[in-house]
Amino acid sequence: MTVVPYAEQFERLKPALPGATILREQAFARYAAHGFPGVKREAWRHTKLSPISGVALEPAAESSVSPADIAAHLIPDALTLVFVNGRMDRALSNIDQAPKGVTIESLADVLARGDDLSPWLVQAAGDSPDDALVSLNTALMNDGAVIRVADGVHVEAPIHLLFFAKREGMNQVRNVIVAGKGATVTVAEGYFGGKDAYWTNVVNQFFLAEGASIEHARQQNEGLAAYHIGSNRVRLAADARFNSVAVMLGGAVARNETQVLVAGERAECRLAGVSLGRGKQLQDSVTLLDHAVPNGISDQVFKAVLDDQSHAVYQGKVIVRPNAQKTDARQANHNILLARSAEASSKPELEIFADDVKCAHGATVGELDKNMLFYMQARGLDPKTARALLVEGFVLEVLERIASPEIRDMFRTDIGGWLHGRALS
Amino acid sequence: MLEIKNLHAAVDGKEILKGIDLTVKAGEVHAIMGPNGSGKSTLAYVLAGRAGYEVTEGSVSYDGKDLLAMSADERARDGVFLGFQYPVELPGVNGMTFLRTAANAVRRHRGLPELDGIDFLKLLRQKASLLEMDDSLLKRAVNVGFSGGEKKRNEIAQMAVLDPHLMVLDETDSGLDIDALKIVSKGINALRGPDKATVLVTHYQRLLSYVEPDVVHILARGRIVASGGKELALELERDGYINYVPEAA
Repeated sequence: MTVVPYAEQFERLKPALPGATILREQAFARYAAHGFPGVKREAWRHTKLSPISGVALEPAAESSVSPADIAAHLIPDALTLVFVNGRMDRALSNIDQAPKGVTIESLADVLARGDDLSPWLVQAAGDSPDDALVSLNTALMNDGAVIRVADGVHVEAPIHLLFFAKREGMNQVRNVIVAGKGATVTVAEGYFGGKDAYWTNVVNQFFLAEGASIEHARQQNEGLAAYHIGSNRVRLAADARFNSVAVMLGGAVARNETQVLVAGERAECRLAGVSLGRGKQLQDSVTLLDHAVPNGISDQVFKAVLDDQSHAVYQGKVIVRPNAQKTDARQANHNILLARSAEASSKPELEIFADDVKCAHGATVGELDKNMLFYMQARGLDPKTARALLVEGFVLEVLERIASPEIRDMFRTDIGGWLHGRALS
Repeated sequence: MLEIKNLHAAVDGKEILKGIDLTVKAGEVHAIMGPNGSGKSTLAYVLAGRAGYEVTEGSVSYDGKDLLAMSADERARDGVFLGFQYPVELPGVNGMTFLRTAANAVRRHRGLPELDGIDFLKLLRQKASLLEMDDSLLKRAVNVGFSGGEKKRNEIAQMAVLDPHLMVLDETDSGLDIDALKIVSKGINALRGPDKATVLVTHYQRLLSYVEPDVVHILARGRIVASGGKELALELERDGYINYVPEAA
């Protein structure tokens, strides 16, 4: 039998990993049964992983950031957790200020003290070969955030998870967010890194009880040599609402995959993303919306703006189960190519087994509109400014989905910076 | 201010303008009339510098400068304004941001200090009230969801804010009801001045009842075939283009 990548690391590292020993063994076995998902798997067709599957990476060495390093990335008045190379930095985090009804902890702490998170953690991955890297994450997870919001609690301050990568190696991060009945909370994630080649493998699990609401914002601004595999797993009980906006700028190969189980009636899921690509970046947005019960709503909008030889992918699948009558599911994917050599792939998919449903999808790929550019130039705007305003206008629809003005501004600044760095002419 | 000599221009290899001569002095308003397909809009686009409108022969001098050597945005910053027959919708581009960016590009070019948000808003309110335009339109995405009349008013509001020297208005009167026509005309007249010139491209005489031209030209098959006073426009209104373009009968 061939040995899968990371088998030797797992044997060597596991005595030092925090808790969950049995769970890790089981998860590793599930991962080892398949190994890394190859490009022959439809869901991974564009995500070429050979640089991280060929040579097994070591965990990135411990490192540190200064308050000055993180200042530009902070959300005002947020509850902030700072992670450096996948480990929580307590001095830079202020989770001790969490209000009543909210517990925010380091995953390493929770597992080390023997709390059994297995009932939550096992739900992330099934036996599918497509889930192998989620299982690998369960086997190797080192740290992350565990956030629990009690029933009926409205958390005013956003909870902000900030990840910095400073060295080569891998960062296996696991975040678990549990919102109790009727609870509301905003969770933002930010990923930043240097020039090193590293791999962030992060799994987020969101559990929303009846009537809970989570605003989720994700800012992926990894270094340009980085591999970023983000896997989100969302479970919605009745009347719950999950609203997520992801901005993807960084990484050599970056993937953001979101699987949502609409398990309770009248639940609503809104997923949105903006990918900005340059160089030879690959940015892969993958979604799976599983409507298992009646009266669910899902609404997806993914947009990409692509320069140079970059490539963005949207693969969105909606399943409407036989029982899920009156489902309203929408998907839209729009792409702008700033260069002829850039590429967009779009694959909305529907599997409908119920007859009384509304499902719509649409996809477009195009260049910036020449009429619009001329109109703007005829008012005195130079071509670079005109293009930047049009691109900002194009992605605005996605940014407007972010409820928090502070987070919206932060994302807009990121996008403005990216545009400023483009020749766009 | 504007001197066009023997201007030939082609679109997709097809010659549309076939030798235009036209001189517009500061302070004057010239109307260019003509049947569909005569080249009116092509002339407007050539003056504004639209890509794809290839000048094959001739020259255009603007304030003594070679206009054809300038890019579209340079022309606009230097005071050439094209009012579009079909103003373009810019989804997601906020009207205030757009116009302030444009105004400041023009002001930088003129060596004037840039306007901050508050000063710009004051200027905009003043110009918009002239056109009886609702502020709320300017806070929306440029032209998106505007009615035909609102788009044309927005063009004139932009023109008022940018304060150009040479105004080329391409069928600004089309699609306007009589009340909107009066308001838009008032806006155009307010911008007339001894150091400014206006070229009105129009199909119908009715705009010229409100914006009185100094000279009326008839453009047919890519050439100016007649020029005269405002009575020429009245003649066209009465008789059509039959005397100038036999097949227009």
